[in-house]
Amino acid sequence: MTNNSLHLVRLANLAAVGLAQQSAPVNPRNLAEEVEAAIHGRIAIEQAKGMLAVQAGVTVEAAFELMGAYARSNQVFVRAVAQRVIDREVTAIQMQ
Amino acid sequence: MNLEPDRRHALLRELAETGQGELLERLCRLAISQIPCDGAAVVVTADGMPAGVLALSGECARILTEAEFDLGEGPAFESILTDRPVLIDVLDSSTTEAWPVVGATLVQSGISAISTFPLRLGAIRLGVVHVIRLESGPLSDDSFSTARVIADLMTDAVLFLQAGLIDADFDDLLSAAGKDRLQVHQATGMVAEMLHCPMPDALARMRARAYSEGMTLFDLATKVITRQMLFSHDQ
Repeated sequence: MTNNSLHLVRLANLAAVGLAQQSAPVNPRNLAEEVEAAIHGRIAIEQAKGMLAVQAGVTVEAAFELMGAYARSNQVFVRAVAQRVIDREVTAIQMQ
Repeated sequence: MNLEPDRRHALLRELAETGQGELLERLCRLAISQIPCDGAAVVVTADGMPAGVLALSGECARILTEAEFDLGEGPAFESILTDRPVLIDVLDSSTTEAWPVVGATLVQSGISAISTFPLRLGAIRLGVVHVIRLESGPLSDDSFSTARVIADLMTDAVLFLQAGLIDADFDDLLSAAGKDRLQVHQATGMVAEMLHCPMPDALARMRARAYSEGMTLFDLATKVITRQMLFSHDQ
């Protein structure tokens, strides 16, 4: 068996235990909620890049650099910045 | 979860025979060999809509997932909306009334039957798995049970992926299975800014324009990103 499928067998058992006892190390329900957040966050970053590109009149790559620099200087995650761009709480002008 | 433990264990043993590669993609190959079928795809949801493809195997799976993404309709949308499997034994205009344009595209591509199962954990919907066949006809009882257990294994695999227990991440998988989609999301942001509208409205406008101009959503997105196409309220 490859590493991946050994992983799966072992973790399938862990997940089953997790469902039976709330205190188990793997909590599938939390993970399931995180999955949607991860996918949503990934898409939000791409959408925010596009919004900033239009606002600043730059390429999407340059828009991503703008967002990254802003995230670093404000010590927040890029995903959080992306959501603020989409919610129109921050614009390219404030980032430059 | 963990219904039919014997079947689950047998499938896990077969999984070892699916060779190298990313786990979700191997589970798609497992579906093709064990159900059996001609294509399988794992589609994840965000905000109650199909949002990306994490893995697929088989040309017909690529055709189905691209058609659904291009047109914004299809069995993944129907399954997520109704929270039920979508089981189509004979694909034709009468069985695809809920998504006629994608239905016609698939019939033209030689796809004859589709079974789409929700990937869910309790009340939480992670996405769907498509089981696609070139021959029409229902899944046998045995194949149906196999498909349900593979859907469970895929659900586990997505959770392990999130837990960091599998050597891959969402970014890599989303990029590998649908690199072009990231560009569509970038273009959606650009159009939302041009029109000052919400993202779903921007995406709907892009889909409608791509369809009316006879181009793929990806080609349209490329034109938007390279500033060869603008959107305005007068259109």
